[in-house]
Amino acid sequence: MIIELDVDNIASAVQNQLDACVDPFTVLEALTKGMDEVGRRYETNEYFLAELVLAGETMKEAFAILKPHLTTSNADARTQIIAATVRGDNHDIGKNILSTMLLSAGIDVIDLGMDCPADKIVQAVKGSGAKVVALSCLLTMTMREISTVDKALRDAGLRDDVKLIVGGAPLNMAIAKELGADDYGADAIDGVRRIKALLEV
Amino acid sequence: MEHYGIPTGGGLTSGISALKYLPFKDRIANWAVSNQKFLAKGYTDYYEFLRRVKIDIGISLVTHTQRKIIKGGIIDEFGRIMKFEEYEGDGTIITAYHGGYLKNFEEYESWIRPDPHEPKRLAAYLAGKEVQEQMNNEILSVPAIGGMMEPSWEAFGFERFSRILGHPKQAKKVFDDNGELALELTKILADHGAELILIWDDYGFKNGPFMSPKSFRTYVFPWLKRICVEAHKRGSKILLHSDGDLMLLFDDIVDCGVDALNPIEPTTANPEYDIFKLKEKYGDKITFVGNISPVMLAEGTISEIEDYSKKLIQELAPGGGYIFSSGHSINPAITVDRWEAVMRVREKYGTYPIQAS
Repeated sequence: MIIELDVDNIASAVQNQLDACVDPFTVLEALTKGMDEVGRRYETNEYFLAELVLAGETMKEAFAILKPHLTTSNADARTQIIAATVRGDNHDIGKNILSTMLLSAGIDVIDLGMDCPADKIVQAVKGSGAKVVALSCLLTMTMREISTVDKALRDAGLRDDVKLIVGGAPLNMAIAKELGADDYGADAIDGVRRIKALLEV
Repeated sequence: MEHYGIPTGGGLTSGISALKYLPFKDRIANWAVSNQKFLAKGYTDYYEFLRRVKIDIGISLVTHTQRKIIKGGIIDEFGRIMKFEEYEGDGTIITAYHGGYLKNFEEYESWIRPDPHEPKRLAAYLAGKEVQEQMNNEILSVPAIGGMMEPSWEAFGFERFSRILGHPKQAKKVFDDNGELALELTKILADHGAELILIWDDYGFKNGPFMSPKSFRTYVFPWLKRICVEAHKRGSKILLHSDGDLMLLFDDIVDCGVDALNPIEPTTANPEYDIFKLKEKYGDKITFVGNISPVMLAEGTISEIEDYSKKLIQELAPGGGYIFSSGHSINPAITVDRWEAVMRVREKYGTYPIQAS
């Protein structure tokens, strides 16, 4: 139902599965497979951004029903990363779709929202022990904030413990590295792949 | 603006400050945007600034006016939450999109649609023309109207819009409403002598179109085609603005009859979305406007900026069909010396006959 982007009926379908005593992790696995297929279709131009985002919305509906049924011990095992749109920038489509794709890939996201100052990111890294910070930036005039976050993490003595990955309209791998990032995701699908590699999961 | 001898604080900044203290602010703001004389006063400084910066085209804003004033910004007539932000570097005020006001299709249906026949539409266009004439036509005033894609999704935000798109009847209603508005406005503006009309839209982003080409063909392009036909019937031309990699939509855009396309974004992820290759393929069918990279303007060296600007003029301008312009915007991260480097190249190489490279 993820592949069909059936956002209106996915919640009841998940509930029906749970009522029929299907293991919640089996349901999650099916949803994840659906998201993987959506990702594949996106990469082959069968689906486009709107379908990718709608699949994310469908996943969120399903996950809201499913989450309370995923046992605590397994939920704790999920890895956390931090995502934010840099200070001065109020664009979040890319960050949000990345967060949803990560959710289905078994990675929880501490989403610090848009226009996020570097010190808030530093505090979140300290508080969570997250090993990856994913930054989004759409504007040429805000991309220097990536360097500010890099420096703030260095000043806090945290930079060696955390990987910085970035994405957004004005960036490419060369600019990302120049600004102090470790990696660059060309889109949400690529971002998930690279974050998994950075986390070695 | 101070650098060019135009006093700051006369336009948006003082307007925002004043509105904080005014009673009946929605009514006063609506009066302001409906009054040709008041609008012309605003355009005078704006166009004079453009003239001094050596930009030839200024816009007059026919749509996108405020519906409601909120803390730090407005909700515009399409239902977009727009906030005034100050760029730390130099204090420039930027109007930035902060999400959609409408939560679902039901809310959309109860939202009063922008009316193309409101007097403020024509007032904005005529105010721009009035100032153009006062300036001996040194600036071309181009009326700008909302297109089909951006007003459709930004009224909701992309997540909610994707849900609307999952319901074809709802999607068709939203796109048709915006198409009808743009078509009616095109007819009105063209009937009043607009030479060029800017369809202010966005079809894509750095990785491709916002939705499938099939959806564009269903919901957007039939309107775009009608807009071009009606404009051409009346002797007007259509300039379409859309960021992003439009490779998969390019043939359709050309087939619709669009006369000129801006900005041919130079920093997409697609190396084939290249203005030099596109000009070779489509140069006899459409005029290209733009492509000076905002990233290069902000981050590159002056000589890189000069070399690329020169290349754009020398390779694209011979024979016509190219308007030298930014590949997105001249944003506040771009310092005056960098912009002036671009204008020096334009002055040196941008006059016909174009010197060969």
